[in-house]
Amino acid sequence: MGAITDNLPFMLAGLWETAKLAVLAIVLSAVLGVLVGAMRSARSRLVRWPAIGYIQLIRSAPLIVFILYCYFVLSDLGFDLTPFWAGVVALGVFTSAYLAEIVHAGIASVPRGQWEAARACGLSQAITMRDVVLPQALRRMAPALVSEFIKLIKDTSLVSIIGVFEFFHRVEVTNSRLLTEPFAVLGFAAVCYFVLNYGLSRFARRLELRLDA
Amino acid sequence: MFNDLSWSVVLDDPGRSFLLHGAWVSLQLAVLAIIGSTVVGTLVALGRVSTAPALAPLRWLLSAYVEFFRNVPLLVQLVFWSFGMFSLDLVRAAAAPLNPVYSNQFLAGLLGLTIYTSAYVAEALRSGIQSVPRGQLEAARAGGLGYWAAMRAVVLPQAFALAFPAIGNQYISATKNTSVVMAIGVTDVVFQAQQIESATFAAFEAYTAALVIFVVICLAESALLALVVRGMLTRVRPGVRTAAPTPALES
Amino acid sequence: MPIIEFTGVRKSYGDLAVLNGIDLSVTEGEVVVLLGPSGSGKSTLLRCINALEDVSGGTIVVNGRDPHDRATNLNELRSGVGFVFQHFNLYPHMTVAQNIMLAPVRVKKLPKDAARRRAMALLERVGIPEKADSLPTQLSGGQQQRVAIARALAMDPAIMLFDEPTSALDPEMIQEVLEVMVDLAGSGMTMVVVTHEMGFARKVADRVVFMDAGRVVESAAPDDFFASPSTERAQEFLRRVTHI
Ligand SMILES: Nc1ncnc2c1ncn2[C@@H]1O[C@H](COP(=O)(O)OP(=O)(O)OP(=O)(O)O)[C@@H](O)[C@H]1O
Ligand SMILES: [Mg+2]
Repeated sequence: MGAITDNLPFMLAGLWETAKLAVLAIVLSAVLGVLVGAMRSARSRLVRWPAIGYIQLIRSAPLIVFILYCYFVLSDLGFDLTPFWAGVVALGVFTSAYLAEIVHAGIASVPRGQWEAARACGLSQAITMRDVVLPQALRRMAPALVSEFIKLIKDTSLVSIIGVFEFFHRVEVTNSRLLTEPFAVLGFAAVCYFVLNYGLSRFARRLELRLDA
Repeated sequence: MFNDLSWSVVLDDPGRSFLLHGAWVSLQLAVLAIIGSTVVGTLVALGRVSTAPALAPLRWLLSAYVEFFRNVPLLVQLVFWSFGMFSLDLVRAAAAPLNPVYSNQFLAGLLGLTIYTSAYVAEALRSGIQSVPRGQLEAARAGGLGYWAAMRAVVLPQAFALAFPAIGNQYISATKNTSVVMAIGVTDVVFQAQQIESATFAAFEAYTAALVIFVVICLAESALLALVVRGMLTRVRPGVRTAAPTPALES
Repeated sequence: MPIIEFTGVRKSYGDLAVLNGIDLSVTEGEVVVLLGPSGSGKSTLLRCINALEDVSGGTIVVNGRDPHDRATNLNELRSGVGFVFQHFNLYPHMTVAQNIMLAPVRVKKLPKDAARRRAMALLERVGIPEKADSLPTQLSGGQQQRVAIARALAMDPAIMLFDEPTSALDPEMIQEVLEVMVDLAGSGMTMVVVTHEMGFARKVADRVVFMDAGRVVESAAPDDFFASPSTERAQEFLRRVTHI
């Protein structure tokens, strides 16, 4: 237990970094995801096909490769990102492809009659999408979105490989400094993630029930 | 840098054989984890849908397992298996007979990946079992089949067919997730790509090669899964057209 | 000697009492039709006979055994009782013949070829031998229900239970299923049938049992029952079913 309490401030400081990573990446992924998802649902091929390419390409890649790619290749290309920002970009862009598919499915689930009614009132396609279709689609997509965000939170641990000093990186440092307490230290990390993610999923479910009521 | 791309670092030896060796390691991990998680996931799902009051503690335990392992990052779990469990003499001794073929890191990675994926497969199959109409089990029981015999002959074949699109997604996720084992020192594709990168600084070439290998494996896998799904579903629900797994689904 | 005997059987789901002390006995070879308004507990009673439901009180004896006694081998007891469901419940992933062969092969350990011959004979009996190798979904509703009857007969049961076997069928298919049931009754099978087919009850039943609110309210020969039901509830029920 001493192993944990002595290193608690050091490890918990990483949680703040993890939270920043997660929040920034979620914002980025949400913006990109809704945009690409809307494009994916567009009638015009010129709009739709790039979106499909984006989604398929990213979804074929393992996240870890994507993270290494963003970090090393972007810097070779002259975008000199710190590990933290490379991590935000990698997590955000990666997750956006999954969100886009969810958004697309959500949009497809809104009955055609809604489109027709809005267009019949003279609303433009973009306005119809923004004010009529997306709000309805979002309600249906909520559970899938939450599980995607939880996945993102779990995935923040992977940016430790490019040296971001987030929670799990600090846990690993603590672990190799102590050397003798892997069960206590790693168990502690596992419990932290579990409490965070499980709590979040329960909270989301309660919110959903309230909205449905 | 794009004007002096040096693809030879990945297309010629030694880079090429590094990557091919890595691909072979990744492929073995994927196949073994898929087989393992199908077996474990099926057992967990069966336990979770059991109804005997005496099995209530087991059901609680299994749902705790599923919730816990799905909510903790795979990386944390892999580090736990490799630096935690595999630091114990007992575990090392038990793994020793396998060491001529598989390193301890590989075994820890395989174990971690299997246990992680099993939790997802179990959930997918459980919802498959629950969408088989109750009357199916009742009809089999009414014919005199015991609970397990009825499950095996009547419910599970249908549940697998219904859940297979979702389970197939988990297989593809597991395949992509094999890449996380590089963090515990397993010499998979990504590990090898990183070696090449640090020796040659050709990051773009090295990681693109790793990416291409994964894309090829995942595409082949989805094509195979799509065939299986089509075969299975036409029997169980001829009317239903279910979306087959598309190239790369979950992560 | 009754082959089915209910004594004071009770069953409830939580606070809801579904069977309120059922006394009923069926003798060998008898055809009993169970009538009653929706929710009166007919299906529940039927399902208690082969232990698809357990009971909260009272005793049941089926074929000399108590389905709710822990010592009873339920699989053995169920093999002696055929059950035909409203929605057929054929196994969609098996052919018609495989549907019929499953229990004989798995429970009675009958060799596959013997089971297959038996399945063909049963399909002959229900009039669709040519469908042996079709999948259930390729059959009409009436054909599916006839397969379900053949499947229930495959274990040589002493008793056949039917829970609204024609309610899910299009009107033109009802007759073909009823014919099989009439034929079965004629062969001396003990049958308990829940149905809304009053014609069948009149012609084939040895006895009509009328249930209401979890109780057996009336039990009489069909002629007497239809001519002059003795209870108010039964009169009202008959008025309603014959006027729609
Ligand atoms: N699994 C269950 N849980 C709770 N209540 C149930 C359950 N099964 C049946 N019931 C209730 O028990 C009562 C009797 O049901 P049952 O199915 O035996 O009626 P029934 O006479 O067959 O009616 P119907 O003609 O509609 O088939 C009903 O009120 C029903 O809602
Ligand atoms: Mg009923």
